[in-house]
Amino acid sequence: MSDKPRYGMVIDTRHCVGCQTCTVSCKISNEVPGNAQWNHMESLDGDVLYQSTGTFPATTLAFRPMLCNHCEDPACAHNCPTGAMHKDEETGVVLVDQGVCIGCGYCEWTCPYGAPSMDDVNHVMSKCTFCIDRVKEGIEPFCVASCPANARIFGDLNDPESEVSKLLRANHGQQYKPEAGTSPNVYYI
Amino acid sequence: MKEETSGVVAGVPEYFMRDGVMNRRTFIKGVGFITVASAVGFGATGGQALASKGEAPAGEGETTVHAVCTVNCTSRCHLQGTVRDGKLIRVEPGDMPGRPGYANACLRSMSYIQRVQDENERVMYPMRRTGERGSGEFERISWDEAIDEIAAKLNDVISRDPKAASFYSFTGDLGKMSWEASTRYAACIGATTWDIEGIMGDHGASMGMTMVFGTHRGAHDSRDYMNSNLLLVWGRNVADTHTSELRDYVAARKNGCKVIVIDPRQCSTAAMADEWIPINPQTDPALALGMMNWIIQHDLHAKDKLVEESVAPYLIREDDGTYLRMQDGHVVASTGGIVNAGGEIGTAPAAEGEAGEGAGTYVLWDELTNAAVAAPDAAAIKSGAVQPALSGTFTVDGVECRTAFDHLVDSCSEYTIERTAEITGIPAETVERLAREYIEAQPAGIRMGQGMQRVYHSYSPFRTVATLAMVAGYIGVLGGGASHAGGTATNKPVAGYTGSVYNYDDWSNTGKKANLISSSLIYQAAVDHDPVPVEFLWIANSNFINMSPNSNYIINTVLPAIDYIVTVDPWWTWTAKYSDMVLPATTYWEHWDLIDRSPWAMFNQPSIAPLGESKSDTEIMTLLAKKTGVGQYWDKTDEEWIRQFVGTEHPAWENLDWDRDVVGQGIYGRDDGIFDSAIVYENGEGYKTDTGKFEFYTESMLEFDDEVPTWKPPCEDPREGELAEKYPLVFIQYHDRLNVHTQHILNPALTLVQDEPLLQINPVDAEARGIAHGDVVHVFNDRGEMKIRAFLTEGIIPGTVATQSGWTPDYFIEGCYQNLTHLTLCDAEEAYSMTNAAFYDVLVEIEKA
Amino acid sequence: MLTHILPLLVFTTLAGTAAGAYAVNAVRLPQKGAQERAWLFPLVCLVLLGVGLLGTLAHLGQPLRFINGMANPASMISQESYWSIAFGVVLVVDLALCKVKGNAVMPLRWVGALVAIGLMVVTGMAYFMSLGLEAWRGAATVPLFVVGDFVLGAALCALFADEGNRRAILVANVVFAAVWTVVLVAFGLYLGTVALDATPQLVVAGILALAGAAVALAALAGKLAEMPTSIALIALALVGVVVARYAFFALGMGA
Repeated sequence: MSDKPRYGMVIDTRHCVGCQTCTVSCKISNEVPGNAQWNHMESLDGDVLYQSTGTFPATTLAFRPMLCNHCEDPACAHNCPTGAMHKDEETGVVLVDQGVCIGCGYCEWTCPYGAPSMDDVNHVMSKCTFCIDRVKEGIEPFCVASCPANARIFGDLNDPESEVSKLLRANHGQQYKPEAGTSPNVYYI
Repeated sequence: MKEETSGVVAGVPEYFMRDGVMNRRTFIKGVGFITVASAVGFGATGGQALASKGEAPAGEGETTVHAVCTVNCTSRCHLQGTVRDGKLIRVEPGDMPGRPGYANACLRSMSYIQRVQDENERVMYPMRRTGERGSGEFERISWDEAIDEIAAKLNDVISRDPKAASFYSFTGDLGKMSWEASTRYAACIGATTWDIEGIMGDHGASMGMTMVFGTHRGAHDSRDYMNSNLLLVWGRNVADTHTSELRDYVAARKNGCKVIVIDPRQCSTAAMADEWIPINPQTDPALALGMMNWIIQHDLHAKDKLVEESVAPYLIREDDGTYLRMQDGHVVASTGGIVNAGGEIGTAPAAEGEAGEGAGTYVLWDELTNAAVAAPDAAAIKSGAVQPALSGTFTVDGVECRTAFDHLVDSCSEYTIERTAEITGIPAETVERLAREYIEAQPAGIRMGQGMQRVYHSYSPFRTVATLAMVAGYIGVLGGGASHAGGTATNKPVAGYTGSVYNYDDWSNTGKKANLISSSLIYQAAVDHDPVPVEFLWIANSNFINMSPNSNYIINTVLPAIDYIVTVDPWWTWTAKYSDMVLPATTYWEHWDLIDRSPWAMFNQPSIAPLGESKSDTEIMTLLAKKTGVGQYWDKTDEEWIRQFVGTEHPAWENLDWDRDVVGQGIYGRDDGIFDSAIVYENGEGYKTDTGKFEFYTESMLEFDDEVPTWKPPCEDPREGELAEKYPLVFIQYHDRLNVHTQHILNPALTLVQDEPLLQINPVDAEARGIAHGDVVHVFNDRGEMKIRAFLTEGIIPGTVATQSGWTPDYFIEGCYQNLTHLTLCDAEEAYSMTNAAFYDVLVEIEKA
Repeated sequence: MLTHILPLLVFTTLAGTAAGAYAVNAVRLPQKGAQERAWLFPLVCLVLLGVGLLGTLAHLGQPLRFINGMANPASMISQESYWSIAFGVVLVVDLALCKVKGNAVMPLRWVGALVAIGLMVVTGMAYFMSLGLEAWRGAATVPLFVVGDFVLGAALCALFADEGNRRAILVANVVFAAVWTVVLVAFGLYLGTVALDATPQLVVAGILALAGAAVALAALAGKLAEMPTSIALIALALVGVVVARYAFFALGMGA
């Protein structure tokens, strides 16, 4: 076990209702500018968000809330030509240095999750920070605190006693697109 | 690709530029990673587990403020806001004292601040109409000019007939003062006011609840579902419309409670449920009757509870169908005919009767003595002092009678599994399984929602489903109930203290009384001057046109019949555009107010400066009062009113500290508040009906052949008839994640979720009409039409189409959903209290546009 | 919306034409004696590369910081910069030598050809590496740029061809058009596997490629004059490649 934290999130899709309070909370609370958005929502098992999957009446309605997976081996950082996109040494979260970023958008393409989002006001890349400054103060990320279904759980995956670790052990949480090889730190139940 | 998108800066509303917010919103460049200023400088001690929810302290240059969300969604969330440089920049869930984990703020309330602070959306100044009504042409005038003009019009009407002046305040802001200011003013001058609920389509629930429970609300705390093995979420999309409770449903499910959602649509709540049972709209009573029938046929009904706590053993006269009544051992004539069982309508809709007022006169058959006896209360029956007959025919004093239960059995017996399946569109085996699972769950809870009561005979769904719960024995038991609306605990009586919690003496002192009329009659009042003429109409807290049925009729017939219309609103609503004078109202972030209906007192106060020249409803009525001779009733500032309201000696306020609790926190957990989970009707107590029991036999409905729960077809019936041939699809307008009513209409951040209204349609119905996903479709009936994009989904029952309520005409390709709805008065409802607008009892046809 | 795709089309088409032409034109023996206007070919390639690179600036949110974009050798974007610069250096030296000596220094051209191929490959790789864009993750992505550049380059070379290599260049046009058609089919088939479709655009591109081959064959058979041949080849190659690549970009980035 590493002495450094490995922050991660477990999202319980069994109870996500697709309300997107996370999406909007993140946008407002982090003052994400312009058309950028750090969270988005996809259908868990279908093509079109909010369309039920299957054939009436045997249908499912399920959602996959998406955010930066703060991968162990982030494709965005690997492919960033400037080094602006990087894995923060102290916290392990993936951040972008907007003072260096040239706004080429390549990270957005190379990220399997479409997580980086261009700040079209300041013309540099922006992205989910896991609300790391809140986390440092012991407060949950905005999306977690705002989830009315308590479907998002945040914590240190390196701590076997953390709620995220316990949940993963109990529920076989799965990474999304692990085949992309980026070792994501967001798990879905 | 996003960064190439041009015009974003240009698209930012002008006010951002004017106020220099652009600069403040801009990231500071070159200082490492995202340094959104909000995230720095928290004073909290870190290093603890991250699981703790809770309010974060304000950052540098920021102030933490609080408000209670007062839109009409049932939740009443306490909000924490952050203000920087005079602007609200953020909204988060605010802590709820005494109830950890209950803090909630929805996506609507979070993004609302964008719209609140958008000068282009707000009414900024008093505006006088200059063009035709509806043209949107207005000129800015001063408050003095506006009030003088309105006062002149009003004084003229008052001098002839005060009742010809109407004050229509609905549910746009449920803060006590905002909500009541204009109707309080109406009382001061003896003008007419309009009872809420009817025309807005919430009244069927109140009527149904009042029939059986004697009170229009009543709910188990949603935490009680931790005690449930099954929860039926019936016509209620709690995930979107009562979000503060969703966590409890999730917790219950994790605790092993099976959650079943009964809804024509696979709604958001169905996404977290174990099962979705699609049902034809307007048929919920049939399902409940079918389940009841199956339960009774299998002898699984709760016989003890029925005889103890309901009117099941009460004797009903075979000659006239009324309850048998006895005085001094002799049968007496029943009161006969309709007494307005709902009592006088009042600000409390379908106001309650006196609990058990007539209790001693009702009769049941005691099997111990084989004689008719006066029906005792539940406790006496539980003690075994009497043994009421649940079924049977008896002759009392020469009058032949049967038990109320037998009448219920008769009514249910028509609803075989097969017939129920045919009506509801639910497969027979599912109906049977549902009935079995429900009765076997022991206990099973039911949460009812207004979705099932926006129909003709709208009292039937809540009344019938609640009766099902009683037949199953689940009323008044932990983990059970048939709940409606709230459920945020209660307050304990303080022994020996008789004074009021709040001091509303001055607020209630209005000299005269308002002339309260059913809102279902407002169209005919305007057009036919019956029961009152409407010469002057003051609309507050309401986007009347957008939220009322048959908007074409309103615009073309109702409004033209009204001489002068004043609308008080923060927004340039559809209604505002048809008004002669529009006055700028503040929102809950800009004025003082109070929410008093829970163990918490929650406060609003000016957290930001009112936009433009906007004023609170109370301030506006105070101005008008001074010009119309009733200024003496309006002698306080808004803050002074609030201070007076909570300035009592009641022990509830023992530890209240104004600065700390009201100003600092915006919420106070009353010292007499019970914050733990609570249920209603435990031990058969608390019914407010005339019998003091659960009253599924409603004498006043005899005239309408509806004395026991039945299912009646909708007034626009898709099953048969000319109308069904012409317009075969049922059209419902559900409440979704984006809108409560129209206040939040496309707050900018909500465009991330959805940016236009959509028509949900099953592919079966779409393909039959050559409609593909995303096609623009023309939806029409005899009343109107709209053009809207089709959203094909398997998650809606075929034969029904649905759009989201609350969208304004601006966002439709053409028309609006309210063009299609109707207000059809229902005799039974008018007799009971008032008609409930049957928004979901609408037929349409659709074609590719 | 063309605006977000245009910078990438400009870069890949113009720089690609220069690189392709350089690679194709190197396949010839050293010539004896001074050539008339030998400097024109590297100059044209240099201008194409330059305009193409300016196009990439339009793609950047912060064009003035473009220098930052060379910081990470592991990034294909940085690699594109390195190879573009190297190619540019070769072109400048070639231009200078041509001007001074009146003739191309063939070893330098061969080096330049290798650099040009490197640029084509890293350009294709840059798109292929986009894990988030399924349309670009197929095996045809790199050939779509390398072969496309050869098609463009071969067409340009026809304009600069002399008696010594005209037939070889025309044959190259036929060959690359044929390979390009195969690449288009391969790309179309890949799209089918990921539930995407650009059949109309790819069919158009394919027809244009075959038309180019037909023009080259007609010229080889002596049925078409030099100038009309060159113009037709360039026009057909340009439109065909742009149509195919527009489809490619639009599927990845959204039209």
